Amino acid sequence: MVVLETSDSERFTVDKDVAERSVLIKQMLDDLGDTDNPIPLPNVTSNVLKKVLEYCGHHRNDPAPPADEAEESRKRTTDISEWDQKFISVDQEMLFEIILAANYLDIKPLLDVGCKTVANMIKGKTPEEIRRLFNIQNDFTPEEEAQIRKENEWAEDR
Amino acid sequence: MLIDALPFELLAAILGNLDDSTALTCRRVSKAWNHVARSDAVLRSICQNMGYLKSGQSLEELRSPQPRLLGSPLTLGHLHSRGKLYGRPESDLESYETFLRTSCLLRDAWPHHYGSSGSSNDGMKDWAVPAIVRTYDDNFRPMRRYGMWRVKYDAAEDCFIHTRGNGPGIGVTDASTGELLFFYRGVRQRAHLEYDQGWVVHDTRGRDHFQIWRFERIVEDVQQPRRGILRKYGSLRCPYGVRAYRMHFPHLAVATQNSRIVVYNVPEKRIVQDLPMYPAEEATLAASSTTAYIEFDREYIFVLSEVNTTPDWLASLFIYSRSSGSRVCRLSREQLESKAPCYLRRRLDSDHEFSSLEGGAEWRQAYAEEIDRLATARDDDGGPQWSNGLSAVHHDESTGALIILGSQVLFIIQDYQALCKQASEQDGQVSNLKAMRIVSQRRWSHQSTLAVAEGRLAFTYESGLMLGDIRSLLWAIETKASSLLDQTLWQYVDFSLDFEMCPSLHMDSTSLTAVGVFNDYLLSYEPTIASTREVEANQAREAENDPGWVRHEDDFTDDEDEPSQRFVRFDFGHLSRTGMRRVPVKRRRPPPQTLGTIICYPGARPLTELLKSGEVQIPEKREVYDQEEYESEDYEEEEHVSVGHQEEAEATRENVQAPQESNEGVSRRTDLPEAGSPEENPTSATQGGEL
Repeated sequence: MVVLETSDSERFTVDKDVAERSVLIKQMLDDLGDTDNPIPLPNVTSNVLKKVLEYCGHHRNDPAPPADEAEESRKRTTDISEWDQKFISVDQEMLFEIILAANYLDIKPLLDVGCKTVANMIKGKTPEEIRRLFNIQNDFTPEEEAQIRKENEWAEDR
Repeated sequence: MLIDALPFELLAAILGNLDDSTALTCRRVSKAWNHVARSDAVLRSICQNMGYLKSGQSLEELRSPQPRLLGSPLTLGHLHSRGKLYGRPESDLESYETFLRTSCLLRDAWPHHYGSSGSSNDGMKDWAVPAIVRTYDDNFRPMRRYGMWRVKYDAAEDCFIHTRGNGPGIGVTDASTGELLFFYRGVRQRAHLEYDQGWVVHDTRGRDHFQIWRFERIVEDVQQPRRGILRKYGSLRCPYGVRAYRMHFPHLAVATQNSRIVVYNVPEKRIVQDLPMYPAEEATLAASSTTAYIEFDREYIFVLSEVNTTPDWLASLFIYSRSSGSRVCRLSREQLESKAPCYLRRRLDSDHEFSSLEGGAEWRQAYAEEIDRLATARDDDGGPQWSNGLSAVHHDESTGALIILGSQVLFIIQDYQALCKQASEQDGQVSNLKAMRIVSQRRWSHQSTLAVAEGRLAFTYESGLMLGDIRSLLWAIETKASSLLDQTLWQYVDFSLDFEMCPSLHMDSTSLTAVGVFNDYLLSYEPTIASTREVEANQAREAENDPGWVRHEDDFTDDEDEPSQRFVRFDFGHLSRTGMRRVPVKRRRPPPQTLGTIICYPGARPLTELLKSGEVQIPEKREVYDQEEYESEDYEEEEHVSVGHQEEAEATRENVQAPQESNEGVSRRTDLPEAGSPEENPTSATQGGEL
């Protein structure tokens, strides 16, 4: 069993193989050896870690992901398993928190699920729709925007 | 928390999951997004999503392909450059931006529609039409009525390699000017030609040898390779007599006259496999069978063969395993037909092309009668002249499909590797064949030609080309959406192609080259030429219901009986999105100028550029390649290389008289690999005569 301590000082006790879904924690455990001391995770809050551990628990028996960049057959955007889809059906704020945490904890499959989910939200939308969706300020002048539109003309109407 | 709070690399990771068109849209969201969406990390990831780059592959890797060592196994980089990138100009590789852009245009340069491609537009879309970038006639200076037989296109040097139908010889032609760069006479008339990655293989007159050539650029010890020049590499002996052959470098698979399959390793000049097409108990079949076509991939060999089972000829597809050397299965055309659902492709515009021409109806009538005559005609061996057999089989690596063309039919087999696996496990039985059969009111015979490359297929029919997108067709099999077929198989009619007389069709990832012979009746017609500036005018004309064909009688003042030949090149890479563009080269040819070995013509942009950069060298003296060898042979009466060009004829003669004076010629001959060393080829001494 491993004890994890979040930024808001909440402690989670989990099985080692669940915690080791995170490459960061795995490395820390390898460095520390067997220890009863809690592992501090200062960049993760308790509500996010709870969610992340739910993912790790479900995927505890998955084969280890390919080590480096040469991962074969990069899954296409739509390929998110049913459980993952349900799992990731959260509000935007939580979604981004999960992405950040997955990145920090180095859980590549979770990071992929998060990024693909956001990508799927973007697909098929106009720039204005994307801005509204994510509450982004348009900081282009009309000229600048027209310029970019012109650059991309070759891909219009596809 | 807002999305903008995510660090750069995480936003990049998100945008990297998009398709190309959405990624472009994202640039207009905000300055920060614009910055991220333009980053190499995102562009590279998108290229990989879209399949333009392989997983983990970078542009740097493509920019510096590893040198190909002789006989060395092909690496991923090589295989890739053979596929997606092969033939694309280096400027495409300047940045991920240009690479992505040209990849998209290239993809859209072919009619396609399958499922939702991830973009917002799920409806049918109008596709761009492949542009004919150039049409050529076959009056190559200094040879007229060259008579192309088999033509291959080499994109790296922008030239064609071809054998002749009107006489012996192999040549290389500059694709930008239509001029002959290289010519060698010692090749039989109507020799088949295979080309892959700079290597050329053709059979010889006795049909018991293959001659191997290489472009100078891949000859190891040539420091400054010249453009369009072939060098002999050696020869391969085929003891059984050649029926059909196909090369995917480094292997050459040959179907022999005595029904065996021989696989060679070309650079090593040795036989790697030799297997019988029929097991011993089918020896009688072997004696009466005729092989029409051979194709292979890494695991399997495909052969189309017809067996005389009097009174009918039975055409079948045979599949052999390369690892076990045994036959995996045999599927007759009837079996294929019974298992593959049939889709009829309707005729477009009900003969619009014919009816729009003066006398077109009569021509059409005469054509139909000719088909009926052929249907009953027999050849010398008693076999059907108009076979209802199978004429060509190709596999497509990018889609995993097997395409089989026969007279009046096209089969598309989905996931042929699964089929082969199933058949080998079930003793040759095939129960689950996922395939589709397409027939059409258009007519094509067993002599039609098929070309397949990168998910695209093209074949010739009565008066033109049929083009298809394999992914769309597979999608139609999957969804049984037969209504889509009319959009996915798509017809390009060009009158410069006579249905029976298209000896060659060649396709790679960027272009399609077709050779055709003018039909007599249509000799005086030529498609309207529309340059980019003329597109608008052309569209206006179309609006007025003018078919847009014009008479050009003065172009054809030749009174020779030989039909004139013409070939066209469709280039997927030079597309405008407005549709078809025809760019003429006819009558724009600059006057020839003899500059040593390569006949150079000023104004040919690629060549002059190459000259400037020093990549191409012009030798000081004119030299005719292997002059002695072909001068010693007794050829049929043929027009000389230099007919109609007095100066060049003289230059040739001078050189023949004093070949030793040419240092270049001497050095070339010594460093030339001997055409088959004695131990390789005991007949090399008489090889010249045999050719």
